[in-house]
Amino acid sequence: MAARKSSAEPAIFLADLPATSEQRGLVLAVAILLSVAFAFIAPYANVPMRRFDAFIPTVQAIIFANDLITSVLLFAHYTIVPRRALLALASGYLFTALIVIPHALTFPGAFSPTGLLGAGLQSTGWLYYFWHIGSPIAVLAYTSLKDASQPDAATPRKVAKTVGWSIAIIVALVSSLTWAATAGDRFLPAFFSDSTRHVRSSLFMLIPLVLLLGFLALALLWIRRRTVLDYWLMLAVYSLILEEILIALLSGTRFSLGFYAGRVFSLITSIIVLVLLLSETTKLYARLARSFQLLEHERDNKLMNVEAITASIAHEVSQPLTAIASGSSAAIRFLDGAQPDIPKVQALLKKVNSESHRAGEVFESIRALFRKVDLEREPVDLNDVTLEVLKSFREALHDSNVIARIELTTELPTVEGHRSQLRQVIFNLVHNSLEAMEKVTGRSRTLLLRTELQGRDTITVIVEDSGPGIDPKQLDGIFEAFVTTKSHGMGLGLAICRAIAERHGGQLSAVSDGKYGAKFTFSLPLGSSTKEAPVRAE
Amino acid sequence: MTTELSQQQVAVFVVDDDAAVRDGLAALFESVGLQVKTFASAQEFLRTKLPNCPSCLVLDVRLPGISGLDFQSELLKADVRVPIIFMTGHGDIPMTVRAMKAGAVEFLTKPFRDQDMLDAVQLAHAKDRQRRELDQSTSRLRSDFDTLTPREKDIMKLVASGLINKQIAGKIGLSEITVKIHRGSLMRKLGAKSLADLIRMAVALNITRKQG
Repeated sequence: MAARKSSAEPAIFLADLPATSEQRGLVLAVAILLSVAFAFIAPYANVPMRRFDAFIPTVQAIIFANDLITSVLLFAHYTIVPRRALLALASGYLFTALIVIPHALTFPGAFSPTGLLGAGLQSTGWLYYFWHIGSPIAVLAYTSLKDASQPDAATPRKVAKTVGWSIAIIVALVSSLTWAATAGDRFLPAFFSDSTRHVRSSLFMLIPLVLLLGFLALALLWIRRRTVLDYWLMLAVYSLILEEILIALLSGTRFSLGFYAGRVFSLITSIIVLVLLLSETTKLYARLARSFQLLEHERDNKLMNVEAITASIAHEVSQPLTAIASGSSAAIRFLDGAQPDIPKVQALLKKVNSESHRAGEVFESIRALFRKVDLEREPVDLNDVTLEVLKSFREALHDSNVIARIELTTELPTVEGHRSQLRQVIFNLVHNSLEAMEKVTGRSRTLLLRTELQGRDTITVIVEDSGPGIDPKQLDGIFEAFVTTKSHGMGLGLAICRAIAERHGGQLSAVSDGKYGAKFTFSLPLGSSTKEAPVRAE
Repeated sequence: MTTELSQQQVAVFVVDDDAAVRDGLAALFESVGLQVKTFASAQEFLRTKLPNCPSCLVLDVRLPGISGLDFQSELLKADVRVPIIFMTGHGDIPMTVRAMKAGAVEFLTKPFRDQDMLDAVQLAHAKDRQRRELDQSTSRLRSDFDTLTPREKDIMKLVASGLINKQIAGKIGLSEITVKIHRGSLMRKLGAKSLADLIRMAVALNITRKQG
């Protein structure tokens, strides 16, 4: 199916499905094919052929089945999208499905030499015209109703009742027309002088009417063409017109080439909309299956996320808790001895204390990610924040032999933002860098913190380290929640950082060759652009 | 530092990339008088020469660079047979099963009760001690076995495969008396007091073979 640039809501019902250029092309191709076939046959329409009595019953049985299935599908469509236009079309197809029965039965020579149902010489002819008047009327009804009608705000029960009534009316109509054509045979104008030859004079009264109806339906459809159903209906009506010309105008007798060819066009008319309905239904079914699959997939992902969240949080919290449990139990034992080792116990308890805060911070950072944040903004000096962060790492830097360099630009304007959130971003970046550099041996461990003014409206804070870097393949994923290149930790850190950056209208990106160091760039816009991104996490 | 440690001395090695956990565990083990050495990574542990005393390894499942389970199989391959106690952030049953199948002593979920850890360490030490003793007696036996003459070694193998002196004599073309003398000599050298003793030694040395 070609790209269907749909409006906000994709059309899923046939009645609304717009025709794609491909479909329009296909309809045109079939129309040309029909015209070419017609042009070939037309000059020889009157050529008599062998009389083949089983032909009519066979063709009409197929037409009956086609039209009946089409009408069932259309009625079913109507029950889903209750539009009068669909109801009219469905009734039309039911009408043709039913009227071909008496037409075939009364056809002279088909079931009996003079036709069943007490048919006279004219019965079959009249039924043929009832049929070919009914079809375009149904299409006209569909066309005039299709745009105006919004779906009936009907209950399923009411819809079922409407369908029931329509069927009843059509059955009654076909029955009475059949009765009129058979019992009233002698009162009706004559079409046939004997069982095969037409009477031209009386035909000229009806044929223009039938053709007029067909052209009217075609024209109205053309003017109001929109959906794929409209296009295929045009094709069906076109085929119907060609058939009428062949049978009624060009061939003067039954069992001529025009007579046989006309029935083939009749067959085509009956099959067109059915093919469309079946193919579109199958396509819709495939789309439905696919979207269901997607839905399942999405759900699995969500479950996996929840599992990952739980596992990660459990892991992250269990680390400090283990340290606390072990440390405090050691402290108790050291106190229990004959000579309590007070300095040792003090050191242990200090660690226990700081670890309990660490456990608390885990929850704090999770909360920061998920809760609604609606805080007041204030002007923040990022140089100031950077220095503050660096200060908090002073001991850690010393312990792990990291040389820290800072290059702060002197002319940094303040940004509007949440100081503590911005601080958390820089803190996380520095923390990650230090952790990455723990693995470094044989080269200096350097941390570079830089602030820059880029252009007139962007401030960047750059955190660079000489750690082992990040595999370029993993770079894309590191900002996603729960993705971590670290062996421990839950990877929420960078996800939070990016969320904060984005809430401030900024960006957070990373560059690394996967061998020597990584560079994180945290950029924030200055001035009005910050207002575009209201700080609200949802 | 291959210093021979006294019989009572035992060591605990802790491998965890979280400094706070390492420190906490170190303090816990010190508080009950155990020798502790901590490592931040598997590589660091491998680089260190281990003391020759009953010891055990307390290992986090998640490690930088390598998973604890992979590290376990690597140690097995390198014939480092230190008993392992695993720690994990969240209990994962397949992981536990795999670790225990590969011979882990215990699988503890963080945060664990200190007593559970200490019990596990004690169990691990007992296992390691047992293994070391067995290793020791086997190696003593092997050096004794090496003092045997080639003929004595042959005869020992035949005895262990269930032949009586007369059959052995026939098989290697010696008189029954000479076989008896060799047999007496080898039993003396190995310190075997009975036939059953000798066969047990043959099994420990892995020199038995099916008669056939």
